[in-house]
Amino acid sequence: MSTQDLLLEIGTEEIPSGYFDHILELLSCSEKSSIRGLFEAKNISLQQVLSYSTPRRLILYIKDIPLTQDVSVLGPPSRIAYDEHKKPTKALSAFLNNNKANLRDLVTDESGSEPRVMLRKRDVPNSKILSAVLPEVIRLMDFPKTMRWDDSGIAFARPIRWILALFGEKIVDFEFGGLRSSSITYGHRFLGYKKIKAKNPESYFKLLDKNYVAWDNEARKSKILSYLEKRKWRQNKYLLREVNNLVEFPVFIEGTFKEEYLSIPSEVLLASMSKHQRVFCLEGKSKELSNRFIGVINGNYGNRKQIIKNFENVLDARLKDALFFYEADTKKSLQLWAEGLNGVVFHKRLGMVAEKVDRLKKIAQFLSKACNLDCDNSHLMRAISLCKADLLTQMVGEFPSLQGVIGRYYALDSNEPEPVASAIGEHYLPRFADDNLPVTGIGVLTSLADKIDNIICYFKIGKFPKGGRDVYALRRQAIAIMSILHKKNLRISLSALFDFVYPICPGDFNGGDLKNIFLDFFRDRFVYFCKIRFGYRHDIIEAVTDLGIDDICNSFLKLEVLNSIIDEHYFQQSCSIVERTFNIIKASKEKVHNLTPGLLQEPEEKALYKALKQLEPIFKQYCVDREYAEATKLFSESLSGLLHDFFDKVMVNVDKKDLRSNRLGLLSYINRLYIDNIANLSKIVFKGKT
Amino acid sequence: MIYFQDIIERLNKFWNSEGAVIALSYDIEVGAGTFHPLTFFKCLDNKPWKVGYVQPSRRPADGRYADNPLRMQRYYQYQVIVKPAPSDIQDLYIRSLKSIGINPKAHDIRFVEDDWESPTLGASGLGWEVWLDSLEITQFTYFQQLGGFELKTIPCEITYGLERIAMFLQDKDSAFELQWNKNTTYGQMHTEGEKESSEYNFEALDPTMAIALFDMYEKESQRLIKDALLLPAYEYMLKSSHVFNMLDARGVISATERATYIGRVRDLAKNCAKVYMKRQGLIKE
Repeated sequence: MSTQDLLLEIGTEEIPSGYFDHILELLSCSEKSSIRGLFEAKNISLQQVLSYSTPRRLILYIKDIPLTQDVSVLGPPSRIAYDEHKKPTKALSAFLNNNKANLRDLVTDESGSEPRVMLRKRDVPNSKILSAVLPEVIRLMDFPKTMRWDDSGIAFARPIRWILALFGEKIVDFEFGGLRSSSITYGHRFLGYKKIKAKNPESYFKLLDKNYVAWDNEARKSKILSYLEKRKWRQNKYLLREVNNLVEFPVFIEGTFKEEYLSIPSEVLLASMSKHQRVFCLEGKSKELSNRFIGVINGNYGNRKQIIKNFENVLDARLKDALFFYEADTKKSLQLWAEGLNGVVFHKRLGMVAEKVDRLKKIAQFLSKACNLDCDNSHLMRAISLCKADLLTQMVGEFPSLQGVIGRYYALDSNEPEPVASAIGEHYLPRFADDNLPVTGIGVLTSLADKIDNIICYFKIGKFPKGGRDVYALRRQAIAIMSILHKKNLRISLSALFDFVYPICPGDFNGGDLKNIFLDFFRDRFVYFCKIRFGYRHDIIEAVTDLGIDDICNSFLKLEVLNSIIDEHYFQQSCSIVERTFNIIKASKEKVHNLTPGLLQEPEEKALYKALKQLEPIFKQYCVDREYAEATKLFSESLSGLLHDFFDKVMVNVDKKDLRSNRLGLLSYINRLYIDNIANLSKIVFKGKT
Repeated sequence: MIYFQDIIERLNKFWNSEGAVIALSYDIEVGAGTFHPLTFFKCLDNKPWKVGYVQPSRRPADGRYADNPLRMQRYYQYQVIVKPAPSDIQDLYIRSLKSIGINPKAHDIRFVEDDWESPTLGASGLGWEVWLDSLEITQFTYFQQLGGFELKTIPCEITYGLERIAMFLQDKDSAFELQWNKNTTYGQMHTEGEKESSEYNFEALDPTMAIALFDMYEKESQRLIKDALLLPAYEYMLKSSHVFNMLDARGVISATERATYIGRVRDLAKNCAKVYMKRQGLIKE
């Protein structure tokens, strides 16, 4: 079967650099991509799908699509299509007319509940089918923000200015938003030719090469990266990704700035360079920032000297500005800035930032006691009263992402004690997955207090994360809390924390039991976190979280331990004990089972009970000491054999009610002993288990 | 050498040849060319419109006592509106750069995402800042909303930063060193004013008076809009907006109050937009 390649190029004005990852994923027709379905619905095979981009074009390249396909169209049921004399009815004629077909093209489809006529169209050209599919492909592309530019009613990331669509050498003809597809593309805006005609997909890529368009975004990125790596760049993968999406043809320039600017806090220096000018700072011998930078420009070798000088001038003005902010801000002490916080709104329904700061002090002190985390209380209080002060400074106004970082610098500048300054710098950590966690005790407490206050405050005004929307990043903050508790090995009861924070937060939620919502929210996040971060098996997570995760730190430990002993014989035996007892209790009609030792009759049940009583204090002590592997081992060794004998010899479901209940009570006791202290092992699934 | 006044003349000539009305600056303090009635009102309706003009623009918070080469509390924009935007609008813009002596092949010219918003005008748009060797020389925006109204016919706004372009063309490190013409520099014309105005905005402005003025301007605009005296009402909105900017620079407005002030100016602007739209028959009573 002969095939051709399909090429779709959407030519646009410059698309924002942050939009490409998502759109390339869509265009790749991966399993997740909604575009895949458009092709599949029309039986277009997707053997090899490639997608590329430059700032001005989105490219979809599908290889080896057959030239034609046979298409079936289902018609009316046979009993309606033919009359009693087997003659075609009006309904059938209409169907044939609609599809421009003849009687001889018909077959009968027997696959449904009754036979229907079916039209077999042979060798329908795929180019025709693609004419209908491609506009839908464009329509399915979505962006964080879209715009209109004319009265076509089309909304896209930026105006679409041309559409190239080729199937082999043939144009896939369609109209979209007033544009007609063609075989015309455009070179680099300044270095290439305008309006170049591509003969087929292969020659299209060659033409772009000749016209200064590095169309393969991944290759383009590798080229930039390899250059930077040779030059000791201060790594910044976000900037790399951004810069890659700002050029069609990368060319490198290297420049310098005045050494005096190296006295500006390095975070400010880097933010100024990356945010405003998208240039990379280079490092000196011992990894410190140097006064050299690298810029990636959009093609042009000829005039590089002048371009470098111009870049340097712009950077000079930027850094001069940063220095201006720094000097202006530090004319006032951080304490004075903090006094303005009673004029800053936290949220219009949640009061001022100054009030939040007061709450943070209470919460941090509570946390300090509850977690047994000792630290200098006066430093803690000082850090909290200053931690939000930098929100008012010009520097944070200019670089919002540097909140906290700036506070730390300004605290040091105001001669605040070092632990206070560090805690201010740490209290927004971690800001994203894989970010650093706070290290100092005061930093940990301030960070935890800030996040728990955010979560409970926003919950109290009903601002729960929903689906893909989490405006206040509450999910991220819950995960941040769990990471810190885990890393720092801090034990605290979530419900006790809630009980303390809830009454001191503003807001007046009345849409249900907020504590349950809160605890469920944390459990959901815990499950997600354990799967994503640690890759634990779902059933182990289920077992540990079954009874809630009130003590998060301990839940982590249980997971770690159970995961490490999962292949041990004694673990599997323990699972079997818990599951067998669980099943028999579940099957019984009575809800309450009382265990009265005096009612035990058979030697097997007496022996089981005796072992249980001997085991219990040691088992519980192990659990207090968090020796969960030891506890599990003891549990299985003490009970496994005896329980086996019990089930062998003793009838549980006897007619006599008190005897039956007593035996169920014994089993329930064993079951609860493990579940209540460690995990619900009946959730564990063993491969090949019957 | 191409003088500052030559750049203005050439842009006038270029946009004149493209059929634009070459207008004059508005004579009330504004923060940007967008505030000129020939942009604000003319972009609200659906009739074709092309205009170009220089607009001196006031940004009190950007004052640097004539100490920063690029930041000033008063500077010059060259503002262009093309409505509807033709499909080759980017090329048209590049040609205008050529007309003032910038050779795009010899530099790094880029369109870098920058979504534009003017909260006081209830306006927003999508587009770019245009980079010339990383210097931001132009704001290029497709308006989507103005005066709180979703626009039907989309105008393209091109705002040239004249000082930056001139510094580039004259190879000067500071706006104050620019030659306005052969004999006079930008600094000779503006250094003293920048120093004094910076001192005034940041230190000397009497906040009590300014707050009182804001209230008076606001009230007057509200009164006039009731009487459907559209342009005067709009002009008092402009005055209130400028006084707010000065108060903001003076650092006497808290973050909460700031949002409230912006909201108050926006309400005035929206009222004006509403009256204009009604007059044009674009919305009902």
